Amino acid sequence: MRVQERKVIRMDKLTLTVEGVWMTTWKDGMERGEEIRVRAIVRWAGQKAWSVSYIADEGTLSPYAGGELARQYGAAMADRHARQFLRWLGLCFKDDASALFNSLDSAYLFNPEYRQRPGAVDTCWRLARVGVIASTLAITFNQLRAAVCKSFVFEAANYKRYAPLGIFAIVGECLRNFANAGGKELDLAAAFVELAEQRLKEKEVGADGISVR
Amino acid sequence: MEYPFAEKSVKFGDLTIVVRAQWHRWPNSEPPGGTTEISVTLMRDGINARIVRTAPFRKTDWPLRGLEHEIPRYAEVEAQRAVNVFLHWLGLALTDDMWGLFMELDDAYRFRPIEGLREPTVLDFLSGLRDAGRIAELLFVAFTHLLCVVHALRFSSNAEIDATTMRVRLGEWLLAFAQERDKRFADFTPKEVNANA
Repeated sequence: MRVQERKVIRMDKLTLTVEGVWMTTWKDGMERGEEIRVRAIVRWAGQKAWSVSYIADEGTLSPYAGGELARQYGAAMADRHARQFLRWLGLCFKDDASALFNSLDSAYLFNPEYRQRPGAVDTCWRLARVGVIASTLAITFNQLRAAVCKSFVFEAANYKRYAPLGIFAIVGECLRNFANAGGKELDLAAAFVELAEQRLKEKEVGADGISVR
Repeated sequence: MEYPFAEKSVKFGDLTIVVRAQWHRWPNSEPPGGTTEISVTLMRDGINARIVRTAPFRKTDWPLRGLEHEIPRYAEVEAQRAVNVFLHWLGLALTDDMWGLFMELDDAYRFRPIEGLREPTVLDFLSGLRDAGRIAELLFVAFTHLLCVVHALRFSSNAEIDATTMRVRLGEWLLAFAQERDKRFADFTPKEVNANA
């Protein structure tokens, strides 16, 4: 069984698709385990698409195997991991390495600090897995950042208007909001303008001495 | 140009692990820079197939500026260092010193943000974590195979030491072997196991 959930982000000439895939794995002719893979597909207008991926989780088959519940469970897991990836991408744009480290550690427990008697197999395996995630995140982040830099946001007039707000931090917030809302498609340019204008408005009102909640 | 490689081998039971490192210069890079690549080969006696895993160990960006004539020597020393450091990390893993291993990996790849002390950009953090992850994978592969041999030796012989003791002892030998400069091969198969076998 294979279930996939897709999140599509469009920014200028880039279409980034984050795909969470839950599937059962087979061994000796039997469905024995499950695997969740997250794939980021990068497609620049007029160019061939390419992708990077990592295994987010794998294990023995859940008790739901074989029925409609398995499909629902798989869809929920695929969606959860795709959204998690988008949240991490959001943290990348906020340049918050500390929060990203903590979030990755919460998910994969690779930091032996504060853990009781962490085993070597466990720690090395977790660190290796997180390394692949870090690589995927870095590649995707670079592509999306390049798209933002090439977009209208960095045209002189817009840059002057939005730079004081922290352009990349706002992009990060858009990604986080999108991940939390659980949507399927995000027009990042439109979301950016909406959020940035809202921030500007808040700033203007704030400057007049009226507090805005 | 190929620079000299460094190599050390460890035999434990029927498993032989060869750790090999070599410094490669980036083509046309000026000032000269390069990557030290480390590879681990696992071989079992009587089995033709072997497992080979490779990962970049360290990048050299700027220290060689203006030192063209020093590059071969640098490459040799760097390769030796990589092999010894890897064996040292494997030793730490075997002795269950996970905090020590984690801190040494962090020293090498600087992936742990520390408030007020080390606040890397997200890209620096991610690339450090990626590099640490690649080395951790090599450690994981070597470690798990050694662990299998420890258990196999324990069950196939009448050795009176338990698996944990055997593993920790092997880790200590590896830590010592990592510090020996001239020795390139060591057989760590426990003597009592040899005798019983």
